Amino acid sequence: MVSVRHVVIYLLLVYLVLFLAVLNRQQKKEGFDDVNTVRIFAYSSFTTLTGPGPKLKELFEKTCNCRLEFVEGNDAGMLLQRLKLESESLGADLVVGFDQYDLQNALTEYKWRKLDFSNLNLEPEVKPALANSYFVPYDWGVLSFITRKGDLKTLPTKLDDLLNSEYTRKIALQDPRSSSPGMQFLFWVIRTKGEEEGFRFIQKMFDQVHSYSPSWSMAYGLFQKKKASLVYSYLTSPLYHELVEKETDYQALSFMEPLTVQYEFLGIPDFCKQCALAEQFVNLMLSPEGQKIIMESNFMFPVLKDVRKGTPFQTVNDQLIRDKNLLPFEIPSNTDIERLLKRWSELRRGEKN
Amino acid sequence: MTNLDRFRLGLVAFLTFPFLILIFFFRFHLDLSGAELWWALKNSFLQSFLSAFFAVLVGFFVALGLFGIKKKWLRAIFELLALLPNFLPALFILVAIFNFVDPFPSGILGIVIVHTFIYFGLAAVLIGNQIENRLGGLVEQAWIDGVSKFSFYIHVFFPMMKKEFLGLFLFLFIMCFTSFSVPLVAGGGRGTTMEVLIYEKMRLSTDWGAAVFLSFLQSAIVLGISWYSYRGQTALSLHQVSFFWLRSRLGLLLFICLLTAFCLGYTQGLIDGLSQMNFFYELRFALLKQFFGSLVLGLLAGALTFVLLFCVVWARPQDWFGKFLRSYLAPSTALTGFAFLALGMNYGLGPWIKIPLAFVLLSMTNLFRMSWESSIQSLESQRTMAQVLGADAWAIFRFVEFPQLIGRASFLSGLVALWTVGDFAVSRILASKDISLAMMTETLLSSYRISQASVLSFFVFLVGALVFIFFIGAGRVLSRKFSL
Repeated sequence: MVSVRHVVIYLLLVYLVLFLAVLNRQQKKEGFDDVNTVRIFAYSSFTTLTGPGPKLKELFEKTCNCRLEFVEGNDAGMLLQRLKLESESLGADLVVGFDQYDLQNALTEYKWRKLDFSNLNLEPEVKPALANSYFVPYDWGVLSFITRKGDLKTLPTKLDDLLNSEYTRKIALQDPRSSSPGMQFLFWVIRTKGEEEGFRFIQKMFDQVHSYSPSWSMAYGLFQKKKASLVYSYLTSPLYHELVEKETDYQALSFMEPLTVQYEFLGIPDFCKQCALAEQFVNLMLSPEGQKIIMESNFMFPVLKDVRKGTPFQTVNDQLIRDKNLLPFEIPSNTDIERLLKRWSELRRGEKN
Repeated sequence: MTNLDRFRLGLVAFLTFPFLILIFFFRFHLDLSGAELWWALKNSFLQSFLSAFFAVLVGFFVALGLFGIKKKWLRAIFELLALLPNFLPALFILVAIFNFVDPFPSGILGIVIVHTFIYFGLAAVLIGNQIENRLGGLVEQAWIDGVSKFSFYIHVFFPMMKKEFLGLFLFLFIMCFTSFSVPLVAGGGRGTTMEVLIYEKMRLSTDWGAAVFLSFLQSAIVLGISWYSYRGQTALSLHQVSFFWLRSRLGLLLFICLLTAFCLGYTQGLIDGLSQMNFFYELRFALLKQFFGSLVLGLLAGALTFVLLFCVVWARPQDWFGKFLRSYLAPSTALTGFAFLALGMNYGLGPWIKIPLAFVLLSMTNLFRMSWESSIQSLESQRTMAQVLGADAWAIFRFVEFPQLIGRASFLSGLVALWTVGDFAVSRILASKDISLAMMTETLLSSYRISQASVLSFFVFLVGALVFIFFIGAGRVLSRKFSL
């Protein structure tokens, strides 16, 4: 006799098989027809539903007579390895999401197609980042400290102010070994103060820091949850709270020292299969429409001039950057990065430098 | 070579294949200063030792506290809540701890506090489960005979449970040894561990050869520690026994305090997130898909674990094979993920099969150390008796081992299913897009949306609880069916 339990188990099995079959079919539709499928390797916050990826995809597929498929990677290191594994079999047409600290590795590991976008009407801050021939920046962000209004009696205006007792154990930073903003902070200090003085400053900072998080998201989360009063993040971070959460409590701080800039790059691997289509997609990303999507989803500055005109992004720029110098663009060598990180680690261990 | 040896070698090959693939792809080498390596090793060892010790200690008291809950359904809910910190993103745990430990002591002490908080619940559930299996009717007997509790603990409880405690300590030691985020945040920058070094090599230097070498070294250390560890001898209890006598009100109070501290921080995020229902409405189809995605991943991981656990039983975990299972540690999460990635088939159904498989592989030897070995050992005398009476291997497996081990296997499978549902690290490597609620939670966290991530993490918990209960229930049904 068939019991209710048997029926439930039977139904569960049927649903499971159906779910897997539908999923498989959908995946095939998305990526395995090999008919003009452009494969884009990108990080998850670019490809997620709230990121710019899906909107750009929808726009692109309307006109390209092709299909666009995103392949996610949790970080640049894994993306590069995944490229190595899948480049020959399935192909990779575009990689999105390197910052200036990844470029050296990417250049060493693979051959990339030369890209020429010198005719674009770019923001002056972005032009130096076009110096290399293989990678083009598609957005950029300026990093500084963010605070909540009213949390602190006095706001820091220069790096040395961060050592004031008022900020002791109130600063959320990222670990430079695992996080790009963490690395940006390290470079900010070193490039501003010089290496020796910079490391002396970093040593003093250790007592001021609430926590060194492995990622930007964790440091920012601790700040959002009021566990820290200052967090190293993007000048545009308060805009997210203002535009999405209608919250105006957050404030980006201006510093006397030139601030660091994070550029996000894209590149077309030499082994691309749909190279022309990939280039078309790059053109879309660098068009005013594409740039607006990226700006509004990523909360980063667009590289094209005039895109942010009349938007809150322009206000941020006017108030905090316009009359200030930014640190000059550089692609640090792997040796430089490793040396600085080694010194940082030694400091943490309490070894003399 | 006998068929049994071939089968054992097959299992060993399955469990070690990530290393084989990694060795094929990358050449072993190490470009690292001795001081750095020593520092990482020392930190890893110290924080793991202390974390495991305190997690077992607190877990023991909480387990006794949970015995005080008479209603089974209520106890089951408390046990599930105890497992909650195990599979939520580290950020939520840290926020909860920072709420009531202020100022937070960064460094080894900080790491130990966070690890203890994360693992005490798991330790409590496992200790409770082992007490039930190991002590069986002895508790009732002691209670009827009027033995004092103190005397029972000194002369019966600790002597009989010491091997189980050691096994659990070793299990938690290894979990903490391979921890990544917590040492970084709670260590205040001083928290360099082996796992951090492995990440550094992969991410910053893209020196995967060195990362594989470090992972191999890490496994070798665990092998060294585990090689001579005790083998437990759990006697499986076949009848329902009341452990109410062992209850500890202090333990229950401790548990409620810890749980409240956690819930205070967590529910605030939940409430904030729920106020933004529009966001979830817009994503409803994706969320529904990911809900089923999480469910499927959890069920598959649990089912595969169940099968593999019985493959281990069939292969007789003795001699070199037993030592291997007791001592082997899979490569770090990222490297195991990469090994599966290197196998190809990364689209379509591929990730749905590979993610559960990766989880089974990552957790199998841990489960063995945790309690599976002692459960198998407990049937040794019955197996010998059956052999003497002329039963063949299949009959022993079908009529002696399988029916008695189903309950424990289901529990362990449920745990793996629960971990899989909460995972985003392995899934992020193997899937080319967000396919589960846990992955979506992590993505939201990386785009300012912490409140929404809190709400999703609660759904992750619900799915986790669902699959865990499913395996426990399935275990009970199968156990009844096969014991007839």
